[in-house]
Amino acid sequence: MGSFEQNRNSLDEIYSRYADQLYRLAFTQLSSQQDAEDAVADVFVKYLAAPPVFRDENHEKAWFIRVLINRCRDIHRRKAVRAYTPLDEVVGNIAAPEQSKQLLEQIRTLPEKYRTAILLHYFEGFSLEETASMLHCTVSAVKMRLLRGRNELKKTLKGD
Amino acid sequence: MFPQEAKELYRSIHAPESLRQKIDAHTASLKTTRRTWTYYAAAAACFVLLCTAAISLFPSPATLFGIDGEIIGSTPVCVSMPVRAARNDVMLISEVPKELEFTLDDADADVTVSLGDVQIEENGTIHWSLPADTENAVLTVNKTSYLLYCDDTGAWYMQKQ
Repeated sequence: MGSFEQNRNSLDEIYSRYADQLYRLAFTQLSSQQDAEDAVADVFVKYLAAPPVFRDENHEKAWFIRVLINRCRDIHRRKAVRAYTPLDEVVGNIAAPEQSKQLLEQIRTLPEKYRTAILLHYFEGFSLEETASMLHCTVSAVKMRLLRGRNELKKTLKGD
Repeated sequence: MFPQEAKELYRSIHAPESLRQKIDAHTASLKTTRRTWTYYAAAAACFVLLCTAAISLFPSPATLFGIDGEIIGSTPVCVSMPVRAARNDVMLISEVPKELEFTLDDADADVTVSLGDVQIEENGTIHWSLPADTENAVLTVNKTSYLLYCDDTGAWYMQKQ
């Protein structure tokens, strides 16, 4: 474990590597921008306070995402819920079909297990094995969550 | 089901500047808290060191001869000395003894000294007067001898032989 100052100096590097990924993951997990910021900030502070020793970059990435997912769950359990932030307020200035926006908004409403699996596998590009490792479940369980999540989305989008 | 446009829209979400500010604020407060606790720990360590140093200046308490008497550093010094409970301890006498006063629980104890004069009272108190230039002497109580001596620093001790 490095000194606090050493960890602080590497914060810039770690932040540039993971901040965007963690933030968009947190935002689609949680209802509000404030909650997403809190969740991601907590992850970085936890890293700075006591950074683990990582085997490699994949291990490091998995650690950040796992901690974030757990933190998002903790925030969900809070009774006080912050105001919902529409997707339009955080997405970049890119031209995207309305359907894509609707899809992302619907993903945000999925049950947490399905939502997380879909985001990690389809949107963040992690393999089934990597996703299973981050979610502490089997590959079969991930496949099941992906299937059920897709079915939920189909039902919801068809119903619109 | 998940077209490329949806993935690009998702990836267009970037961490705001306020997030970095939040992290910096948290880590600054964490650093301050650690520094504060470091100061507390250092202050506590200094306090312990000072106390230890201060305690070492005082004469050792008298477990001498297995009793609860204690040399208090004034003359005449008084020591309670139950003969039966004598142990092989060393007693520190912080002042040069001109007269040592002992209280024995055995008033009929046989007491002899190698130097100076001894007077025994009816209640078992022994007064041992010593010459000013005494370097060492031996007190014998019922065949148990105690050496009275001083070290190079001028501290006086009494040790069971």
